[in-house]
Amino acid sequence: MYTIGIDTSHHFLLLVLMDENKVVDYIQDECPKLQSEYIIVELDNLLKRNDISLTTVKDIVVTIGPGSYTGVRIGLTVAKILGSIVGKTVYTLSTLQLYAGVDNALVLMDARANRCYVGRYSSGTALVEDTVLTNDEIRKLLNENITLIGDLHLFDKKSYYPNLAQNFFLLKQKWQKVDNIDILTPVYLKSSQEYLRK
Amino acid sequence: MKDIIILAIESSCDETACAIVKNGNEILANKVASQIDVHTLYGGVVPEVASRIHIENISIIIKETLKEANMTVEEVDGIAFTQGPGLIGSLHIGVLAAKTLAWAYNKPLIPVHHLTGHIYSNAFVKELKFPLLALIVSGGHTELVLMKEDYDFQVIGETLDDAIGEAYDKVGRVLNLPYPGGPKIDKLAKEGKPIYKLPLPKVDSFLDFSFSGLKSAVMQTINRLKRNQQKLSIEDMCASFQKTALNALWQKVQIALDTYDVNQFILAGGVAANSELRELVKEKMKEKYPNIDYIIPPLKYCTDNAAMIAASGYIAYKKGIRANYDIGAKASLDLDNKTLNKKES
Ligand SMILES: [Zn+2]
Repeated sequence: MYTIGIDTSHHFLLLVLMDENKVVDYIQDECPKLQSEYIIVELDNLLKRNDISLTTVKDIVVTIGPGSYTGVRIGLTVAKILGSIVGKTVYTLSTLQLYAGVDNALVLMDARANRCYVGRYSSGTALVEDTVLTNDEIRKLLNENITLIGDLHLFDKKSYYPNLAQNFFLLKQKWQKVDNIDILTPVYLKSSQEYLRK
Repeated sequence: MKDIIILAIESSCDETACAIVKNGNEILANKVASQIDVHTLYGGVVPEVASRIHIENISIIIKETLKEANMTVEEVDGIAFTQGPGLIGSLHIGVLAAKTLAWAYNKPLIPVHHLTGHIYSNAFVKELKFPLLALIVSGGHTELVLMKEDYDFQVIGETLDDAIGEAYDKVGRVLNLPYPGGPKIDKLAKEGKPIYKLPLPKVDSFLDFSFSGLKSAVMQTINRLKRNQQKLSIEDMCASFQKTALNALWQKVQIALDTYDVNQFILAGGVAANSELRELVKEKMKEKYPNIDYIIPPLKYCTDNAAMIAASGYIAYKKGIRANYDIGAKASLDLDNKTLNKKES
């Protein structure tokens, strides 16, 4: 039996095929804003080139944000349909958790308007809750002796993205099983209330 | 002939909808999750908020539709979906849901233009007779479409600025009425008289519309009343605005009906639910065009729903119109035969 990992919450379209023991294959395209066009094409490719039918895929693990709102919803829509209608079991991971993997790491992901989503993880566990901070606030945190992951170019460093396909597999113990897929919603870290007209 | 069953998904604006329709005119299930209560709070549709509600509703609405029809996805012949036009974030959810279903169940994927859905919602009332003239009026659209045959769309007139529904919402805001303004104005207009003179919008081009000037005219009238310390009657203003807007609409319909030889006139879109417009069409068609058949769709088919997408999708399916998995949502999509009649494998 196989599991498919899906992450579309940043500028990658990442699809990972896993079995019980390893990452079997994966597709990682850099296609910001085009994930919605290519996700099904690439899912189809991934299964076909491994000669696997969707019926032998039992589980889906998907990142639920924070990240690009549209991006997060792309992976999640596919996962919700596969879970709710097709009958797969769905698991979730925080996007920042996926980026951290099992490292002792600070994950920084561009949230635009001079802010970043910030995740602080160690061995796959969040040390503080995922949050949004201004880039100025983040600069003060950068002296710590930990691995930095993500959009580091915003802080005059070279951006670093780890092997996300591998991270999906390494975090297997951390996958959160979704009990009611129909009510699963993305983690935005910004509430709808903020869109109320003032 | 074998029955053809289409499952359709619609998410172009603020309704998440799914339906299953047999042979283009028999509804087996039709579900709509409306967001109107939420958007009323926000004073209008906020795109990001709409997208958020769509993803909350999408799987449950499909599940409920299948349950109501007592069917599985295996039993349907094709998956139709609204590709556009609409709010891009909202469209994405429906497009992806449709693509995922089509892929998982290996079903043909049928892209549908939202406005063709509005047109074909009339197929639930009776058979469409070609050539026909369709007037599509909604919050986003005001279009006159000539159809010489099934799935042949020629836009012969459209709004140069605001859609008529948009004008209603704007005037509603000026009059401090809650969102959406359309139904409220329609209701209040019944209690008033069109005593305020508002200029009929002038458009030079033959069959096009313009409604943006109407809002300014309403504002000017209100300001003048204020200056003269006269009391504004909201009801009378609603009646005046509505009469002027609908006359502007009808004026162009009449030119089109006089110009083109059609067998049927159909009304479509959210503003087709307007009671005065429905009366106006009935009256004028009887009086001036007794030989032209006409359809005024029941209220439930005026607002956005997925049954209409399935009805249009059924014709598209029969015409061999298909989409590949790489198809994307389109915020703006022309009602144009070349784009709509693409037969991908
Ligand atoms: Zn519509």
